[in-house]
Amino acid sequence: MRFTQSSRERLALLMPAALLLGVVVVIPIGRLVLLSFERTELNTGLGSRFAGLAMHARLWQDGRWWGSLGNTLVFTLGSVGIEMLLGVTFAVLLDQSFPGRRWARAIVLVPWALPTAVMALAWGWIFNDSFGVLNDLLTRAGLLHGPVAWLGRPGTAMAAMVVADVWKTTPFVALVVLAGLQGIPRSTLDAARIDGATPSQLLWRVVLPLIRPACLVALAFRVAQGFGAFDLPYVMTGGGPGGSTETVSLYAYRSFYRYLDFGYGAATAVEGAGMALLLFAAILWLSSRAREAV
Amino acid sequence: MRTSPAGNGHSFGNLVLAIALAVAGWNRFAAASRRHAETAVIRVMVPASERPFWRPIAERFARTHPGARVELVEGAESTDLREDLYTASLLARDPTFDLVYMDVTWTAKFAAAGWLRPLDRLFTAAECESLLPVALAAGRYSGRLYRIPVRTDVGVLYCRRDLLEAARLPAPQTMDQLFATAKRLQSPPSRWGFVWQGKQYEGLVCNYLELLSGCGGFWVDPETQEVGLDRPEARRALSFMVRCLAADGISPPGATTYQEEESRRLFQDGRAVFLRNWPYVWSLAQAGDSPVRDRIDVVPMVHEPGRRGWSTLGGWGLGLSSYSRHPGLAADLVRIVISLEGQRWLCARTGFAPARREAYRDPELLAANPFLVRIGALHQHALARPTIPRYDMASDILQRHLSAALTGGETVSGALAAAAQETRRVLGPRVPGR
Amino acid sequence: MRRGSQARRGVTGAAYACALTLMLAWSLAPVVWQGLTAIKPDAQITQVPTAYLPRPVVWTHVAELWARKPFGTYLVNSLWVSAWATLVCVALGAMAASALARMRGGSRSGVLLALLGVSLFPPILLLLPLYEGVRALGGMNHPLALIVPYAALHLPLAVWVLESGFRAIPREVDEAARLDGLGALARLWHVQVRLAGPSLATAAILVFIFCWNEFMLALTFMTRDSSKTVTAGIASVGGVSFYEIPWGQLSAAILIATLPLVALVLVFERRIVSGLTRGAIVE
Repeated sequence: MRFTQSSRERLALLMPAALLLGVVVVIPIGRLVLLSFERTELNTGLGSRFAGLAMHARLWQDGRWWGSLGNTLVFTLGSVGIEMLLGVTFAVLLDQSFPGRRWARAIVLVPWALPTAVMALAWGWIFNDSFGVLNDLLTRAGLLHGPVAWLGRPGTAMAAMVVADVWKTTPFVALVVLAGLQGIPRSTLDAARIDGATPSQLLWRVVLPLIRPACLVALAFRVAQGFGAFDLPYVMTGGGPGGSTETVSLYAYRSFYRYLDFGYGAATAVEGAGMALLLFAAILWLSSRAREAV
Repeated sequence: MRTSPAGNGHSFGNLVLAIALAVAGWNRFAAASRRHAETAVIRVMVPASERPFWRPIAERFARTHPGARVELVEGAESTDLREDLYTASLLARDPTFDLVYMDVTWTAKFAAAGWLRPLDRLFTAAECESLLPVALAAGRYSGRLYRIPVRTDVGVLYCRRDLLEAARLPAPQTMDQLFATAKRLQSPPSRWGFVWQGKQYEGLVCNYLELLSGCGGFWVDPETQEVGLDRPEARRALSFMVRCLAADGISPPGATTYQEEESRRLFQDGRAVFLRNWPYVWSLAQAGDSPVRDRIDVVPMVHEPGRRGWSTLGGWGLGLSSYSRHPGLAADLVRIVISLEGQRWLCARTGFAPARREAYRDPELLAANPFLVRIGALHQHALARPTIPRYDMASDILQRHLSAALTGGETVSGALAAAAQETRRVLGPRVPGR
Repeated sequence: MRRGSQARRGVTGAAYACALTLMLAWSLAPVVWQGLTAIKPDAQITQVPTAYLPRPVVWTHVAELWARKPFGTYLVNSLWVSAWATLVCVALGAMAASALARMRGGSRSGVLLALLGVSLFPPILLLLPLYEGVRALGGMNHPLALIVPYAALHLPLAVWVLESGFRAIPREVDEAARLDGLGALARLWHVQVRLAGPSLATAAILVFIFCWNEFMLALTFMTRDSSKTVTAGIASVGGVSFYEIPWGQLSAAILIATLPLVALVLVFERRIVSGLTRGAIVE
């Protein structure tokens, strides 16, 4: 106990962050949560009336909400899964020393540095059936006979969105994991090497367990961002075809800003956030069980 | 393996530098955000690309109204983004924007929310009569006028005149003629018969409405709240779209992902015989470097035999914010915009279709844009989308089910039955009788 | 035996080079495509069959864009807002993380999960309350209207990243500093910040890029050209008509917005990642 900080010190360190977050983010979220128990919409002249759980009950009977939840789950699991694998690979590659490493790191970051809304538009054109560069490349390679409308079918539209998201956000994962890799003291690696560990043993037994916290950070925020995906479906597919790529955020946004159905939009966002938290907890639980099993 | 230590000197130097820069730069912003305390300022947000054409209007206003001026706030290009900005501002009861430059579909929602002032008293009957009746009517909600149209848009059918002439075929009038003609003249995938906007978005609704009316059907009657989507006419209109997309059809499978630009590019590259789009295509397709320059024509949209073709009405107008501090001055600005001169400033160089009737006979505008003659005629059969407060919801329902039917997720009748049912639920009980 | 391992190293080297090339190609290809679009003549942008190389190379899109919009001002504004937001966010985040890293068990995970929970809300829905706040404080067009929300919105991420870095620092180092009589802030500055350089750099870069790319708030709060950021500027790049998408100019705008960022990342990389970290550990 002698070496732990006094709780007063700790509080003083936490305070500024808590204040900023509280005023700018937590209070608005609190208002949203309260709003989800009210009926505030055009029919009530935008005035609010307490409605208890009515908005939440309506949500549970809304096929569109369940559809968007399913789409969001598929999108999040698909894109985050691939991003974690690719991101860790990228980080391991970038952690080695090779000529021009600095440039390689900057280049890998480029996709992430581009504004999503504009790149979503660009990806939309890449996947276009008539002018899309993807169809052209695949046709030239002899893999494709005749153009494919990638965004025109539910399955391929979702896949296209996942590809665009993986391209865009893998650098985020790579960067976070890279920081974890660089935090590993050199002495640890040297000791393992002296003990005769092969490179693959080094990677699996020493490095990966040590970067687990960094991976967890990346995973947590990728799940959050994936669940909140908005720009990408909004610009690339508009939620189509047939609502097959509408995400929870997109639906919440539409209820809120388009339909001016504030209570309902707030309920959508609140329950969506709850589901995301559940998903994250499930992933944590599964990963800890997997670790125990090993 | 890792780089060698470089010391900590740099980082501290960087920090000092950053702070120095920070202090120096602050003043610039402070100056920029200092308020102008003076005259009445009328603010309206317009898309960035339109601002140059609004400038002469603002200058005229400043000349005729000493002590007042207009600030043209530059908004995003995307309609949705600008709607969000206006929504955020109006919800906060914020007097920043005196005038709302609004799309035709916003009227009912904004009016129902209480964000707009009724304009009936501010504008005389004569002033209203100088505008296209159909465009003016789209600005009414529950018997009152909330939006003065400034410019209009109508859906039209573009065709390749050269191809039709070479094959000695007339321009199609009915849906079957369009199908047969397109089928004969196409050679996919290098040239498709008919391209249109099939992505799940507002444009799909516009495309469908034209066919729906051409089949004698309707979507929502704004007065009785009656929904016509599960009637045979609605099924015939959607079946035509599905038929176009079929393997032996006339539209590329990718049409279900197209918005205006994708379809325009195909047509302009000479890769489509027919195109359903808005008037903006004309000036681009007739530009100097366009492969189809002087080889195109415009006709009304196709329909079923014995009926007539309809054009979905689009366009922009001005509403007066409930929170404006200068309603009188703002109304004066609107008057300048809809004056013949204002319409010239706004439409001559942009190719927009004016909202003032007289403008379609104005030699100056016609010289700048001969195409206006045809657009003017189309307004007789322009089709307004229903002015219901929950328009966005109804439109989204229709978009989803149309898109699902076009991409094989639902059958034509199943999609329309579901859409009709959901729309009824959104609109609430029918208003009995008329 | 020795030769065998060398050969294997050669094979791994080749495989490594391949993987590296693939990674860079994947990251760059769409951007290069966008870059080529920016310097293509308009007619070639949607030409079929696809025209890969611009012929001739035209700089009109870039030049027109630069002439039409004050992109220089936008860039300075973006830099200014993002730098301040990053500074505030990382500073407050580091303080909170240093406290969290020394906490244990339930309360620590509780705080971290609460932070994550906060970032699970779709940020788009926070726009409205923030707008009301900014209006009420008269902050429209003022950089603080962006700096404060940006710093707050990305605080959870910064705390998580920094905390995982601080936690990797051996406890003994901290104890030693404490016995030397250093207070909490002094230890944060002299020990944790020095030793967790990669995390600090990572948090800074991540937050900076998030701010640089943020779009909805920037568009809503910055209505004047003199205070717009670069992403808000891009949103107002349009053709003559509302439907038209001016591909050439849009691509040019993306390039203008991204190149400075890449340059900045290059600088950060060298100065912070290699400078701070390894230096301190050798000490």
